[in-house]
Amino acid sequence: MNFKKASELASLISRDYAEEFFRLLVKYKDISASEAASRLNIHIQTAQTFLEGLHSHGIVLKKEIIEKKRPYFRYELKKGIFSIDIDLFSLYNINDEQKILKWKIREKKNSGVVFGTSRESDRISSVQFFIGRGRTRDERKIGLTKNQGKFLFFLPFPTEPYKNIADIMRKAEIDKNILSEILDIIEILDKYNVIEKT
Amino acid sequence: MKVMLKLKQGKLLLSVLLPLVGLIALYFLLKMSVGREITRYMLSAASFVFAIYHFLILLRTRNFWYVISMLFYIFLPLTLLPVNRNLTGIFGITTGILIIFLFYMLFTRKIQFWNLEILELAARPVDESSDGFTPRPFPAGKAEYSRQDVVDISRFLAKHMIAFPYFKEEKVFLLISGNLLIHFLFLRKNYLKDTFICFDDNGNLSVNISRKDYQKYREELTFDQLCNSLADLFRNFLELYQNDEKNRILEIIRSL
Repeated sequence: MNFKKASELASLISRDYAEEFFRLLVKYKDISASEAASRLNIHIQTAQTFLEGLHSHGIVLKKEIIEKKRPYFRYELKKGIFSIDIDLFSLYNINDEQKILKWKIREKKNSGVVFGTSRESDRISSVQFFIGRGRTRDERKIGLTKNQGKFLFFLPFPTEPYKNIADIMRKAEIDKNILSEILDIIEILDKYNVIEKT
Repeated sequence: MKVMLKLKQGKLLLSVLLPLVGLIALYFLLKMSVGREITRYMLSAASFVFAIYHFLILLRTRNFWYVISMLFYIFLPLTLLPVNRNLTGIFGITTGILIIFLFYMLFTRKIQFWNLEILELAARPVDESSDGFTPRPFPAGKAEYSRQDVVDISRFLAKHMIAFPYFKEEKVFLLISGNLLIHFLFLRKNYLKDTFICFDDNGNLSVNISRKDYQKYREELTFDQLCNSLADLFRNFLELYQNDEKNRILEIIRSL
């Protein structure tokens, strides 16, 4: 199950009427939105949205019924047991890692970023970006982990030669195991035009 | 006469002349507005404040020339104020002698802040002007020293008004500042924004040059080279100190 589907389903079952609604679906062979709404004392549109949501996730079956030439839907519980499984590791694309590792980087001239220095002065504690200009200018401050701070401390200055990410990590004495954490901050710096790369 | 090739010259004169002209103008303004008597008391009060300031500098730097300036600022109001007619003469003579010493100190640069000379020396080897300023410290490599070496040279540099030290658990920061007063009075809480050289206990050096100091240069010197040069300067000072050639450090700075 992908993260989006999992969060939609989790959103459905987290509603305060969800448990009562499911109890209704278990007890009834099938039920319409208006019957459920009146039974649970909720708005019919709310009930309809809930049932459609369950249908989209395959938890209920939907049948069209024509009564007195007016069609409507009835819903029947299809799955008595379901689970939400998310593969969190799928959220991080390892192919991106290989692509970024090939970059040679340095700080960009006049990037406008503000670096916060830790009290020890041997690492950067935060980076602050300014987005936009004039009154609409927005600022965003990112607190760095210790290793990210050490990495940025050794980031080549704007007039220094470009350096390979692995070389910077070696100089900063950062373990290769936390590479993904370093690449994360590099992506952000690239996004906000703080670094230039070859 | 100082020859500054890399630093903007004009502001040096302004920083000396402007306060002096200001003080003279203030004296005449006060004399005209509140009268001679009150002016005397106000100047005396200001003088005592300066005496305290010089006493604090004396405590922090152990530069004993500040005893002269401190005494001057104590005896000056004693001369101006109607304390005792018999003593006024003695105070006046003492003040006169102290003024002579003060001029000697000024001309021989005994109590001068050397921050501008440090910035000039750091800039001299830098030929390129590709800018590249960034407001973060520069990792400047390694040097061979013990913590005690750094503590000792720090005290020497503070005494001669070259740099002001902050001693931290595993590091020593040497601040290069034209306004050491705020450091003497412990008013500078975040000195990490100022120009400094940091020596850690593992032999690592780092350098930070503030934007304000960088803007003192005539050109936008290539920033990483400037930082490297400043680190090399202090690496050289450290080596000279370790080789018991501390007077050579003073010669280098005063050579400008």
